[in-house]
Amino acid sequence: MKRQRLNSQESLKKYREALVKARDPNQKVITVCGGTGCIAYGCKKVVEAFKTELEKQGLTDKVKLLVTGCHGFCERGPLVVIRPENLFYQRVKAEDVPEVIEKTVKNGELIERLQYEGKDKKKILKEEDIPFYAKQQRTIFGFNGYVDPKSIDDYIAIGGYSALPKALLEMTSEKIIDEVKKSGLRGRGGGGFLTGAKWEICAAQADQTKYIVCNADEGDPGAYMDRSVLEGNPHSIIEGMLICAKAIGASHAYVYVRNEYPLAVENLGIAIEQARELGLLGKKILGSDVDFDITVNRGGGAFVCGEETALLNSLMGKTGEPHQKPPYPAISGLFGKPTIINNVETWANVPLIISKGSAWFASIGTEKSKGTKIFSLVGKINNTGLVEVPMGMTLREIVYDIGGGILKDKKFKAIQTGGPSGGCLPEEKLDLMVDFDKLTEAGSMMGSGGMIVMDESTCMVDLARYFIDFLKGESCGKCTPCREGLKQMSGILNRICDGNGTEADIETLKDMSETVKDASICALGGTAPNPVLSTIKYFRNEYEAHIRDKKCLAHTCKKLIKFEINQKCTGCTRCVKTCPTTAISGKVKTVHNIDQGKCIQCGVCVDRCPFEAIDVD
Amino acid sequence: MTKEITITVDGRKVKAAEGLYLLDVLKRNNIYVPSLCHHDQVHPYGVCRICIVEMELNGRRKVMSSCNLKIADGQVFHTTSEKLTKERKILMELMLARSSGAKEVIELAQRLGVEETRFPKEDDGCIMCGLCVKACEQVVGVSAIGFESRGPNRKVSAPFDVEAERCIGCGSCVFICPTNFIKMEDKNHVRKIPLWHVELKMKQCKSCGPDIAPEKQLEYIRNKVKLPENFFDTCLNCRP
Repeated sequence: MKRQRLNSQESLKKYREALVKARDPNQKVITVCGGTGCIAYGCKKVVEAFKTELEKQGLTDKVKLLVTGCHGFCERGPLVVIRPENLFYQRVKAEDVPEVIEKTVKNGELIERLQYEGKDKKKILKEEDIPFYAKQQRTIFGFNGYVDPKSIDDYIAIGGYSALPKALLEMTSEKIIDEVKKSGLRGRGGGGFLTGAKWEICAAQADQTKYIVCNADEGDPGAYMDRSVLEGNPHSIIEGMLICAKAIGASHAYVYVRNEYPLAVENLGIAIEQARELGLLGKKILGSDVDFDITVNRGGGAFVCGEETALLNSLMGKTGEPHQKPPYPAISGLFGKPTIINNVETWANVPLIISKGSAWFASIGTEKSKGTKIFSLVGKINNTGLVEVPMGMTLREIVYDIGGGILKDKKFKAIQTGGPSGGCLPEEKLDLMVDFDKLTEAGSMMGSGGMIVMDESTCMVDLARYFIDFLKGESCGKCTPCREGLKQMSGILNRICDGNGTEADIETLKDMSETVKDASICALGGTAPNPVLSTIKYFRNEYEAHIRDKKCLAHTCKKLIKFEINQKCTGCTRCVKTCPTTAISGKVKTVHNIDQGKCIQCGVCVDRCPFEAIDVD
Repeated sequence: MTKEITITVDGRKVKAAEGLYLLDVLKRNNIYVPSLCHHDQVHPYGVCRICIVEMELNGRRKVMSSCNLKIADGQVFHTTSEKLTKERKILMELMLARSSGAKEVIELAQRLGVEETRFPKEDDGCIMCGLCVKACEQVVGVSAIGFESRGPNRKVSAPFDVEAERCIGCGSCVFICPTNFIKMEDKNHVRKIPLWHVELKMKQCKSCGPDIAPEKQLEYIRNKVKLPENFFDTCLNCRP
């Protein structure tokens, strides 16, 4: 259906009214999470099953099937929520679908096995009562569960594009910038720079041509909040950029999105096309004097291109490597023109600030970090997923109340915030309030919002080694401190993990860290030493154990551990059969023996032994 | 006309034209800051980081390279702090580790008080300053070579590390390389630059005989400045 262009505030209002009127608030809606996590769990089959079953039962008119973006509770996918009651079903399989329709949709009966079970073993009925969701404040991410990301009408019907006419037709550029400044919004990509202040600098530039860029090159391993916002609610990003276009006087934007995010690219492309059809992108938008359009550019897969100057170089067709700032992009960015580059989540916040007001936004959060932040909670935690919380929530609340604590009730050891170049914070920092400055003070950072939880089985030296190796490989190699410094730090850390560390190594690592942080061109090198510095600060005993006692306290560094068979061995020979290097020998029904010269510390025997007869030292 | 501005360097007021690069201004005012990847003929690339200084910014000091830092009025810089001295030394240690045999690296390291490196020594020879790549692009205008790979694997290379098809054999890269890493040999009327896998035929003077320059280079110049076809048939000395 070809849509009519909306050329005034009034026409948008009427369009929305017609949409709302046509929708019954009591409509039965089966919402299936179609986010990347649930797709991996097989939600597409669930969707197909619902389609088939609804048709079979002749319910297609009465019941709406809505495939949405990510709901956040990825641990329990595929997720199904039945509205308007918000009945929550988890780990739904295609085989469950006929029963869901028959019992729950048609007759209002609940299926216990699909319900979420609380700690007290009681089933929880509604989505909002599940502890994972109950403590969150999902101002941005909450929309994901209510809109079909491929439908602009869904977005408009829930109030989307209502900040747009306000900004374009009722507010001056100065007023918009003032609102964003007053809100206290800071860049969600990791820099934490005041968004309004950045816009103000850009707006003040005399250049006639200005650009807007959306940084959707989310590269931190385990972090996927930008992906899920783009996949689930792409119009919120478009609306945010449109508002900025008016504020700074730009007429073109680029979205630089990872090529590894095909669904985000697809949904964004559809969203842009639909916005063009309705005239929300194009010339004289809603009758204002703002012309604006968006081009989607897919990234080439370099981690460093998430850094803004490297991203802009890549966008211009140059090698994706950063340069020293200044010049800042707001003054000289894309093609040498003043450019506002903001992260996906930052853009998603903008329409809310304009429609609900800066005072509302500033009422959430801490003194210097306002609003909410989406974190991707991963690692050794029960509730893996995306969580949106007000700034200032403590790590403990996030890990235990929302995250449901540590897997298998093991002991919490550390949480790394901010992605691979974030710091690791120990248990005594669990009551730290999460905001930009508090995290930096503690030796970590907000970064883009990654949170990796580790339990007692993680060796902190090995962890630092792992991340330095990752960052070494992702360094563009342009400047000496990052290229050579990370290489040498990796060498030292690998040596320590192999049991060949020396007393001087810790000090050398600290010296190197300072130089790499200070002298590197960009934030990749500028933050890369964080995992090393923070683990030395909080877990120095582990470094010393590796160096002095040649011991890995977490029993993970292979060169420092030894497997031995104790007297519990029954001689069942299971370990003998699984050992890949034939290091284990022994007669049936007698205690076995491991040949240390042949053992490669793979640990297969430990997993295989039913009698806890293998000790790790 | 460019505006004259004042900056403060180590407590001393320095006047200079706005928008100049800090390292150039420091040199003109006899303030020594070491540098390695800087060359007057190419735009500063700012990669060796030896020329770092501290700039006062919002009550803090930010470490920045001076070669590619354009100055503005009122800026305050420090060039000799303990922090900078220490960090420059570590940078020299890193470069020594990479290219332990390069004369220029050893000399600068000694000047900055570094006799040895704590890190395992390699003898790569290239310090990744990128001057060859930049000269080929900005001075010669050919862009025959570039960088390959990333992180510690980054190196200067011809595209795909096979014969650099666009190379005209002018030897600018050889000339500008601060560590003599890029080798060139003229023998039997052929110029070889092995690093770029290039072998180019030399043109001889029709009058006196010896090699003038690679045929490809002379063609490039002739086309660029629109010279007659027989212009390079004879060498400079034999030209009437």
